[in-house]
Amino acid sequence: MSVKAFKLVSAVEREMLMGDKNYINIECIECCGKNLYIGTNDCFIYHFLLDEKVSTAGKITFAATKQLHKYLGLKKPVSELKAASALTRLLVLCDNTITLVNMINLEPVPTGARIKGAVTFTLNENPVSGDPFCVEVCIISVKRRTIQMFMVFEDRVQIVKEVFTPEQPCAVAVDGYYLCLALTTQYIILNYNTGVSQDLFPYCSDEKRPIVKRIGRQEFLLAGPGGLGMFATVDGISQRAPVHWSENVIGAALCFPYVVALDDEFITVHSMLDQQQKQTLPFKEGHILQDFEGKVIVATNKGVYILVPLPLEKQIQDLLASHRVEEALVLAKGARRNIPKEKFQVMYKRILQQAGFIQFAQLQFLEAKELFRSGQLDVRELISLYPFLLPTSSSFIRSHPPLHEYADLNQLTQGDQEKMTKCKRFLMSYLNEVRSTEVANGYKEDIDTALLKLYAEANHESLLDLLVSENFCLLTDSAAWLEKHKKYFALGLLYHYNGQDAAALQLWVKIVDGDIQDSTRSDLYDYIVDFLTFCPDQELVWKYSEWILQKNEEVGVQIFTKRPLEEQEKNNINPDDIISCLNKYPKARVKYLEHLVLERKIQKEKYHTHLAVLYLETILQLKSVTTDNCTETTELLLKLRSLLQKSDLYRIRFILDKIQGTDLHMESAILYGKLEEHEKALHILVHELKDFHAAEEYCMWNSENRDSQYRRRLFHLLLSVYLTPGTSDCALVMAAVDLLNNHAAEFDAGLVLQVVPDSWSVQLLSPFLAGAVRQSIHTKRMTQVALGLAQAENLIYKHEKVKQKGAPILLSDKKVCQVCQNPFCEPVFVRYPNGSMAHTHCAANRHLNSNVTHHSPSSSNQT
Amino acid sequence: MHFHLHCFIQTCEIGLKLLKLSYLVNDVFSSPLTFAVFKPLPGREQFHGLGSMYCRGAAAVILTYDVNSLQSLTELEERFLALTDSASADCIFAIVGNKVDLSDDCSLAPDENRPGKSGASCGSKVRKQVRAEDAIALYKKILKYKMLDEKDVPAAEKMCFETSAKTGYKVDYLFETVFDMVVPIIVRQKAEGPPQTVDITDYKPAKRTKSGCCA
Repeated sequence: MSVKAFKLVSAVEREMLMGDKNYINIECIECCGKNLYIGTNDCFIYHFLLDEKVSTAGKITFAATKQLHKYLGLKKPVSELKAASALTRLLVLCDNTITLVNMINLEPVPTGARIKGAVTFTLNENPVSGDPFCVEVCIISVKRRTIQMFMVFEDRVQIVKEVFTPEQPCAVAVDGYYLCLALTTQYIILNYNTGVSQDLFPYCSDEKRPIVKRIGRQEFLLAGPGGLGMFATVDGISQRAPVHWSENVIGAALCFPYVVALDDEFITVHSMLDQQQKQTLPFKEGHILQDFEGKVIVATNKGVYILVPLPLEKQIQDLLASHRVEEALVLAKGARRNIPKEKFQVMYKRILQQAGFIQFAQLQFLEAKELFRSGQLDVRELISLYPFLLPTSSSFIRSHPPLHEYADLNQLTQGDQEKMTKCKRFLMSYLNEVRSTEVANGYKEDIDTALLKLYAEANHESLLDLLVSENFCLLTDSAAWLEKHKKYFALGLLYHYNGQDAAALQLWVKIVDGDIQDSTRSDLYDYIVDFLTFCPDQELVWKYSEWILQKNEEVGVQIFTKRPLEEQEKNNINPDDIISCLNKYPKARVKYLEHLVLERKIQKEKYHTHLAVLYLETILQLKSVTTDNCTETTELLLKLRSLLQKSDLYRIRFILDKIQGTDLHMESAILYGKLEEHEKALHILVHELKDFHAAEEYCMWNSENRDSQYRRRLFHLLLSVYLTPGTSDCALVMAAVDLLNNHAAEFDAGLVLQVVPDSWSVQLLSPFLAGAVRQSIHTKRMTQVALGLAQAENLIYKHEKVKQKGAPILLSDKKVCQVCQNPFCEPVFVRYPNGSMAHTHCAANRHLNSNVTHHSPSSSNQT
Repeated sequence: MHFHLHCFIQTCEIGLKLLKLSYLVNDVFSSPLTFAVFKPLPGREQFHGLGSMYCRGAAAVILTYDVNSLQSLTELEERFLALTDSASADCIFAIVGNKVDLSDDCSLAPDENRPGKSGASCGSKVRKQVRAEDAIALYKKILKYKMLDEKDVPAAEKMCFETSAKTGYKVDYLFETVFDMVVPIIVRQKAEGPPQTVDITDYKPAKRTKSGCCA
């Protein structure tokens, strides 16, 4: 309740009308533009001009100036007045007769046109005739149960239709062809064109005065039972919920979005939008309430007053001021059609924003968010409520007039910490939502900086996400804030985002060293290693490499080994510099060399040799410490062997020198192999290591990618090592036998048989021999097959060749010799390659004086 | 077809709520349908004369009773049937037994679309007073009253529902069924003539509106 929607302003004082003649009463009024007409009970019509005056304070007053008054001379009260401004006529109902008088001088029309026998009448505001110089008048006739329709022109009237009603009508309103009638016991809608009627609802018109009021196109407002104001369309449907008036309503008027009703003591104002009663104005002895073109006029017997609507904006602001958000928004939405579109949008946006702040202050965050969103709030308005959140450099100034009454959050929450936290949490989620939307355009810096501050303060994990993704946090403001909240890791990220990697690293190193405290990341060291690995600034890498390697050389070396590929390709750090830097850190150095040699496959002798030497030295050192093979040694040995085998770049002699005199036989065998000194290598494998399997393997891998001849040579060498004269080691003999039997294909059987001792039984070598014989036969047969195939192929080609040489040649009586031009008389002829034919003798002659080669007759075809 | 509920709610003291609902047909918002929701208020019977103003031309009527109260079913017939006199001639009727969440009827599988009800013990539940057959009988009575042939209208079994507005049980199903029947009719009528009103007579409007039934 208690919206101030209207103000009651006096328009015509009683003195102006009747002076001290107390018996004079106002019977009816009409207002048309500035013209105010008043009909009295002593048969006078008064004409006033109403002037609206707006004082500087916005206060509206009306000044009425009397134009003239006119006595109709009937001693009956003037019961109704209606103006027809298009005709400059005033319709006057007095003594059951409607007369037409001039609106200006109140003189009756000279023709004396009138409508007789009218109890009451009304104008059709939605006329059907389409003639602008004619008004349609509907009267309730003095004849029982009769309604008449008239067309009224400037100086004549014409009856159009007479309709009969089932009961006596008491009140009527018209819209187009539809009459809304209050009958004795009910309301009905009657289409006077088709005669179709629709009952609305029962109402006892004898007990209470019915009200029938057209409120818009095809819609009426009716007084219903129980003091309800019912809405009804011409279809007999109520599309709005009723308004609840008092029981004894005298009159009703409409001033969108309000329905105004008058009873004995009050003027009540209901909203059509939510049906609630909005205002009550005490008004005693009122008996007329009517609206004229949006102007609501109320009158007692003695005086006329105007209900001046307060501007909608003012009403809405009043509602907002009393925190009635819902009603304010309903009213604002309802006002849409009464306000120009542009103006409405600006106003409505502002109202939404204000409403948002009201909901916000009540911690109704969901509602607030929705209102801010639909009101397209400048987010900084909200941020500015929170102390210190806006960057100092922000140019933001709160809108004026202010959207809310709060200086800041402290005032809003009155220092309640819990509320404060809730508000901050809301702002966090809200900013996070809007920062990537168009709402943020133009002040992304302010939003992101505020968000960063909130996250930092609340120790929120999204702080880091914000800093590592695209953001617009202002450096100086954010840095100071992060420092204040000891978010040094985050501060480093901020520096990094702003291209100040040196500052970032300096901070992080301090954290790891324990100079400053920030537990954001327990693995900060690894993070820094990672950071340096991908850091394009080589100076920084060098600057912190010492620190990194001192902390952990095995992990730290990643800053060199795991650098991004594109950088390795282009702007590489010189590996020699790195190696010299790593000299102090042997483990790191090995890792780096492994990286160079094994991963990047750099074909440089010095790295390969260096790595091999490093492996070797480590192995030897380990061996000198412990005798038994620990896993570390084994691993290193494997690595060394693999390197020695796979690489061809290292200095073999150099390594071999180092390895000599140690027990690294396998390795020296590999080295000899590399030197092509296979006999030495195999000798070591067979006699020193007695590892026959390794010896066979040796033959295999050394002959990889070589021709079979080379492999065969290696295997023969191995066999000869096994069978070295003078050694009668049984194991060697067995190995030789196995070798032959298992790798029969790798040997030249003829050579083998020469080498094999005579003492060996055939049984012993039977698998080898069987294999060798089979191989030999197989080879023979394969060769025969190949020969046969080749001959066949040759024959095919020969056939082709013959075929290519010529097509059949027809010899008949008609053919003549190309040389002598005589026909052929015997089947023998000579054919030239160009296809021409000649006698043999002609060809022989010709052959003597030309170099044309002739073909022998045998190659020709005879027909 | 999609529905968008809760555009406008108007309430008043005669036990009536008006809801306006827009629906999407082929991705275009229609002008809103009006829902009138009635609730019987003791001693307010004199306003029933007004009720017809809100039911006139209704395309569908949903009569809701409480499955735990036989009286509520009989009241439907006594109090509200007359209201439907002003409804459209081809109006669809649905009879809905609400508050099944309170009853112990075992024909309702507990796991079937009944969120939030799993913890409730059967001990607190009462025996259902109104059987589905009673509702079907009422439906047939209405058809007789409206002088409709059973062949011309949807089958009784199809138009009698049991729901729980509290748990949302089958509420969507109810409204979808009704809308699927009604909206095509309204769309057709829209093309032909003035806008129509869909009216709903409801025994417990407060619960119905709260449940946010239409998706």
